[in-house]
Amino acid sequence: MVGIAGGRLGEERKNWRKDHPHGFVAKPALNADGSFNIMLWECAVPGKKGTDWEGGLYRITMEFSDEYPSKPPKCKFNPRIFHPNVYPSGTICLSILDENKGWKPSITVKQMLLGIQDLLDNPNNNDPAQREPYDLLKNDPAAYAQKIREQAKMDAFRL
Amino acid sequence: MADDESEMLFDNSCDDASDAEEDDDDYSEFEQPSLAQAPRPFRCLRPDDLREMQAAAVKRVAETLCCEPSDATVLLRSFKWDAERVISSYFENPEGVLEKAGVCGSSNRAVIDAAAAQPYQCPICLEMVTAFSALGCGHRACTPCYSAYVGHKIDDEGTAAVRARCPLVKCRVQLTDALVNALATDAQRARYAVYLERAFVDDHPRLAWCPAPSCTHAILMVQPADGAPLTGAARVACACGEVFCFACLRDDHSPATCEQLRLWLIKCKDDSETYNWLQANTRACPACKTSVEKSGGCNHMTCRHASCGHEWCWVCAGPWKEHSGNFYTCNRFKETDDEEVKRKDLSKAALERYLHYYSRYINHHSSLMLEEKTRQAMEDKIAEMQALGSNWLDGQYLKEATESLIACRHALQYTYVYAFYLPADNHKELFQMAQRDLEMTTEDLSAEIEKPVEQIVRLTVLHHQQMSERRLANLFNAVEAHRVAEAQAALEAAHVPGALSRPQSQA
Repeated sequence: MVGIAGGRLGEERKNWRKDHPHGFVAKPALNADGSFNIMLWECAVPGKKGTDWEGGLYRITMEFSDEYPSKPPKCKFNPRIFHPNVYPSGTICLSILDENKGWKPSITVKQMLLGIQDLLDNPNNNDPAQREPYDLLKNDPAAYAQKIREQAKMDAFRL
Repeated sequence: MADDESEMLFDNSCDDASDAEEDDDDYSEFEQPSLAQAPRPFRCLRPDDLREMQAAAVKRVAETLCCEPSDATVLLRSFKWDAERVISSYFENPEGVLEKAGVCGSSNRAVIDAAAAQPYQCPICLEMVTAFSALGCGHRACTPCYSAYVGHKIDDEGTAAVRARCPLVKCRVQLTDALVNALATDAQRARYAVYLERAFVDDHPRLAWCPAPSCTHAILMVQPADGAPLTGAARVACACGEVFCFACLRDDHSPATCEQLRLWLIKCKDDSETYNWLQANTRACPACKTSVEKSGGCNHMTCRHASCGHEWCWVCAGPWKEHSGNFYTCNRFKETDDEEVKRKDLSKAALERYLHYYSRYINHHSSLMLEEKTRQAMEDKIAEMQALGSNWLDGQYLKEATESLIACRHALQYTYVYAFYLPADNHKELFQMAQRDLEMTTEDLSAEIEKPVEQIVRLTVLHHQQMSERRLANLFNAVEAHRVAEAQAALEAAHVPGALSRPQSQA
């Protein structure tokens, strides 16, 4: 699929501008000269209403390779968040973002972001990527929920 | 070997070109448990045989279920290539079986590179296009994108490519080989064919690749007549000469079980440093203490130092004189009596016990390595005999004797693993007697064929060879009979619950 990454991302951008879920952000990053870098997107996912994540806006960078959409983009929380399935580097551990698991070339940026939003409140503690949140969720769910609520109020995650 | 004869039949059967279903019938005559240790029937398959076997199964399912061969392939893969189970499950619950396997019904055909009436948005490149390909699920993608998707699966995912699904999100329909072959490049198609074949053998519970490097054969276990599950160790021989265990793919280790061998190898890894420290590569001659290095397979050592000439046994360091007749007892470990156990540190006793078995195990193992050298030396001896006036054909008995010798040493090596895990009971006594007998004749045979050419007596070699083979068979028979008896006892105990644990009435 060499060469189609740029075209596909252009279309993704167009579709996103036409319609995207409320509160979400997804746009190509700016280069130093002010032009768009279509291969690097800056996105943001709001915490779902009615969950401990509500009120926070969690920023994500998506790094696309020339092999996109054969291979998924690299998705990272920046700044990183406190969540059992997020590596200390911020990289997200989610099956649909894993080339060898659930990735399909027809998964769109919108679907990825909705999947990530869903992961926030549905952590998979069988597949931990970060020790602290894993331990806390396992041993003291109430303290974990408290920590998540505090995180949503932190300046780094303001809207 | 005792079972050489029956094995030859299986090896030769590579040449017959019948399909899988017929094979089972062809060999049913070997399935009768006539002998306690009849070898489990197997066949060695070449790549062509594998393709035929696969094609036959696909044809059977495709014809019975009236479906495309490529759909039949996907169905078979999800049922581990058990055609009968595919068919019976399908007639019980057609929709469920198709959905589980990721196959679309025969009414929905795959489409390859067609043109749509209306332009649509390709879900991969997001362009408006008309050309499309789709599986039976009807999920369209433009043909260049679909080809790239298929190509990417083959190039980057190895054997997993055979289980690739429709590129649409959440669709579980499996790519069919027909679609893959239509969309992939020639090089990718060739690789995909290799993956299909590899996956066929990997998925099929009765097939295993020969572990020899660069061998392309696979071994097929013929289904037992009683439908018994295929578990446990099974000695199989590939046409390439590799002999291995079907269950664990390691070197043939009969009479020891796969589990015993696994435990043993772990133990050896942990404890062999101690052994290395205790026993160096050379041993001192018991009479003159000169270091002696073993250069041949035979354990009968004759010290060549100056005027010593002491004859001794490499294994137990005792005089060789005691190693003829029934005095040959260096194979058994003298279980220490109670008082001695009390005196000795228990762990030391355990180590001693282990070292006893390990030293004998490794001794046969290294002899075996030297025996491989003997194989070449035998060729030279036959040539030498020719020079002395006999013809080439006459010398061939030496080769056969060498093969017997290697087989005996091979088995002897693992008899120590087996014995190590045996509880000290009557069976162990009997087993060690059989082991001792076999070891004795094996050493005799080894000594005889290592003699200089002019001293070798053909009749003596043949005698020792026959004795060795018979004793090897006896040993395996004893092991098998014991296994059968134990299994029966376990079965009876299960049938009469509480029979063993019933409280005793007052004495």
